[in-house]
Amino acid sequence: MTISAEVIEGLVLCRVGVDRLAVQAQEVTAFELPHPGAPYAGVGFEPGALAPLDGKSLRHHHTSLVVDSVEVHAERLKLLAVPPVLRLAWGGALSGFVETGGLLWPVLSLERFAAHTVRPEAAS
Amino acid sequence: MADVHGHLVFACGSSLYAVPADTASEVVNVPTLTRVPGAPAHLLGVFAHRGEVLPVVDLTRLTGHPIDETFKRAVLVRTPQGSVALTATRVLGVTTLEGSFERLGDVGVHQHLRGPARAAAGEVAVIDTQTFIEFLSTAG
Repeated sequence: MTISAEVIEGLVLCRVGVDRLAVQAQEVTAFELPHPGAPYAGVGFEPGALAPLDGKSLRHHHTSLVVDSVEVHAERLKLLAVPPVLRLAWGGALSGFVETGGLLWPVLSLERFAAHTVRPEAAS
Repeated sequence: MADVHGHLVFACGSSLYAVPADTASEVVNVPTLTRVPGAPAHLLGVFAHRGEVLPVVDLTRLTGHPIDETFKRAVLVRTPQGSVALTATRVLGVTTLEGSFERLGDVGVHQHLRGPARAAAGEVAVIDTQTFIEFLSTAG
């Protein structure tokens, strides 16, 4: 199996309930307070999960995604390859994984992830 | 059909499975898993192992058998199609199998299980590892 040697710099590390995910900082155009109807990332882990009232919304142009909390991570990290069996997960929104703080974080395309959170029936 | 290369036999829940010994790279203790959004229920999560991200596949969920959460170990299977860690409640070791190696079904994951083969411990479903991982990769 080929292991990606790609390096990634500038991540937003997001907590989502007991789970976590990361998005590339360059994809985030604004941090906002969540507005009603904004898709919640927790649905990707637990269908029907409800966003916390004090969550944060990550805006990417015309889409947004609500998470519980965020932390900006500036260090360069090695982007680990997506295993073939996960390439289609959430409509192919997974870009890879990073390891930091002793934890593994799935790195997602914010735009594709948000789109599939809005329309879960479209997820593969 | 002669089993000339040997198979690694392991239990998952109440069922026995086997993979060709040359595709089973090691047996590992499963650490805390990282869940992946949008992953199907049989993909329990991933863990990093020697610089590689490995997905953990729960065979009981995949095959429709009663779910057994007691697994602590996993069998790492590596093929040109990718690598996965298969949940194991018990690992019985490498042995030669006898019996049938016919497909166990025509739909879903059962297309990629062969048997019923026989080991000393009982009937075994043999996983066709290459097509099994291809199936998981396209099933999403």
